[in-house]
Amino acid sequence: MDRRRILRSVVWVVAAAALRPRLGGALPNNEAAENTFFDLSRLLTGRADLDRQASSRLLLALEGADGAFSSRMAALADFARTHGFTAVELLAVALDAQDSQLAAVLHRIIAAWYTGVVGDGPASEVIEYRYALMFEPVADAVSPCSYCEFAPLHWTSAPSGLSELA
Amino acid sequence: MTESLSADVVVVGAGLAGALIASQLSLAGASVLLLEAGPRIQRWRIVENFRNSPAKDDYMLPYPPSRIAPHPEYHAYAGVPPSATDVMPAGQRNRNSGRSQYQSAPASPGGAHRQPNNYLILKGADADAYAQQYIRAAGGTTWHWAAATWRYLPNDFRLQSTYGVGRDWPIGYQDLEPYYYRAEVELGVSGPNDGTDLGSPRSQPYPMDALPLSYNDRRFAQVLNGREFTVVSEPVARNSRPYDRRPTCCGNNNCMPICPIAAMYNGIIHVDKAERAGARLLTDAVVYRVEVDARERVRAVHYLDANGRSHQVTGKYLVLAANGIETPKLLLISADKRHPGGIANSSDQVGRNMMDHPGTGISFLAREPLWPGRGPMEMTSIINFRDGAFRSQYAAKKLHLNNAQQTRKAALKALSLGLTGRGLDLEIRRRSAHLVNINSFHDLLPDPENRLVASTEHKDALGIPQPEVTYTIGDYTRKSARHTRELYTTIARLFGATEIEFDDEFAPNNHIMGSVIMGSDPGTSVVDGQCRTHDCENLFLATSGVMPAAGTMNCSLTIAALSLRIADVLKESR
Repeated sequence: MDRRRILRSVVWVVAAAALRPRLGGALPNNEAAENTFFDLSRLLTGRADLDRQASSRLLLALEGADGAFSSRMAALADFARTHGFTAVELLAVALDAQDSQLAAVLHRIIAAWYTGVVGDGPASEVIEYRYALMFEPVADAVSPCSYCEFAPLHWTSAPSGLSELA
Repeated sequence: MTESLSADVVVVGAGLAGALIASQLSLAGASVLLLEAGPRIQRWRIVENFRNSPAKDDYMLPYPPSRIAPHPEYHAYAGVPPSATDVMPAGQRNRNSGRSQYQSAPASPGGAHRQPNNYLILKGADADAYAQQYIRAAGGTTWHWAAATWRYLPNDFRLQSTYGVGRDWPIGYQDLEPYYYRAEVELGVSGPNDGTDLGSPRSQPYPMDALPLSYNDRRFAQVLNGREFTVVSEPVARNSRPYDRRPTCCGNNNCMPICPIAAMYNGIIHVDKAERAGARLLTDAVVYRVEVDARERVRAVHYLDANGRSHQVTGKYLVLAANGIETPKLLLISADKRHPGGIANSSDQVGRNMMDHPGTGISFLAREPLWPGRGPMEMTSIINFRDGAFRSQYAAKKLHLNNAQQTRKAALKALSLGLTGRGLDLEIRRRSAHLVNINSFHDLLPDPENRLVASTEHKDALGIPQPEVTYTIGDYTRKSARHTRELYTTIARLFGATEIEFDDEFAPNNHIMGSVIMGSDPGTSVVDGQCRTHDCENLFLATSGVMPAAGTMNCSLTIAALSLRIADVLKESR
């Protein structure tokens, strides 16, 4: 490899590194917000095992869809922490009664994780499909459309447990 | 600058009909040129477009329209509520229809926002009920379909002489039966080979046995059969075993908008076969004129390429297979001094008698969990209202159970209720398991006032007039729909239904019929029983537009049968 080609490679690596935060969602100066959003998301979805990368991408999309999102999300996290909420149900009830703006942020974050879609109408965008949380409570019975994850002819049998939560 | 091309047979439209004919004639040694207005599209790309689509119920979103040959875009199911707490309307229209729940358009795959394009202009009392979808691309509209491949009933061919309404076909069921079977072999149809009577006598069993029913469909049949309903396994162009070098259905539950593995038949299968047999396919070739000589024979067609350059194509025979809307539009806009009303239109019937199968629906939560969404999207139909003396008074119909997965709808509804935590998960699971959705196809009589014209106001990017349809649904169909509502009520009761939502507004079902109607009298019809135009001896129309009675069933198998018959006539004519 001659020096020019090495230099060109270095330029590409640097350029790729510069682009990576946008693609991967890990902006260094957004790290605090990312951590706040990730912890808040775990509380709001009742799940400890959320995917970090999905969390970063959802945050970016939510920020992009609403300029006031970051500050409201931080306020929501602060509210939850200050009042010591550890269950989303109680937090939602409290906010629905006290602060409709923060309640809306709470529901928007939950909807983003469950549907994998962020944004309104024309600006809506799929951030996550396969691992959208809505598929979890039905995972024993149906597989996300397009690539079935069950065995051939699985559909002839009665789904296990039928209506009970898996 | 004009380039000139020639072939024995020129086929306009590379969908199911045109591709079948091109493939048959190429195999028989004819030179065939297949002109397609739309582009080539790749299956994997459509699948990815679907997975990236925010409005999964909008089956057109994964098919971006061509700039030069647009297809109608309504963006009916921009299913993402404006905010998470907005209520998702209950009784979702889960039909392949063009109407809007949320009037805003979703982002398209790739990020550019796609808006309704007002390509198909709709007028009349029931304009919305004719918001047809079709795909302008190599392979055509069977890229997304339920793959239902029903034969028509013998009485569908003689509605006027049997019941005193509508029109008779100039051919009978017995004329088409051998072609129905050949079409089933070509497409790969699986159906009930267990002696189930579907009302259309068969000379041969289905090429493949039916797939075993889903739990949902089995319970539907168990609950309704033996009461006032006859539920049967629907014949479908879907592999129940490896067939024609394509795999067995594995239940991706994605027949619409795209089967990811080609276990379901799409028109592209015969486009590929035609090309392998020697046919030449030109995509992005938008035919805008059919030229007829002094002997009333088609001399040439003219098309525009993506750069707007005009090309001439000549051939011994011309087959227009550009669906029930684009075919009559092309004949009308080809008007010249000697044919001021358009080509093949001495009867003034081109563009008239527009038909479809107006649909209504019901959704409810059944008492028992049924788990729709396991297996193919549609497997069973109720068929005992397809024929009978009542047809002299009101329309026949078919009802069918939707087996599409309901997870997304369940989630949007549960979120709209403001649920969180375990309550949210439980509600998603409950609704996914219990939601029932049933839809219907109603017969419609041919009415010359239901008419397509070439718009005088609106033109597409190439300057070609857009299609404009005026549409009204008459009492014959409305009376039947009231009866259908009673049937829905009975079904809901049998399933211990709650949250019952009727969808009474007629929905389009993309079965475009009547527009170039078939008949024995050249004074009142466009084509004869062989789909040859009365006016031009070397011009054939391969489209559901020729069908003079709508009946109650998806018309693709009849399109395929008529197309194979056209291919036979052309083989003999060479």
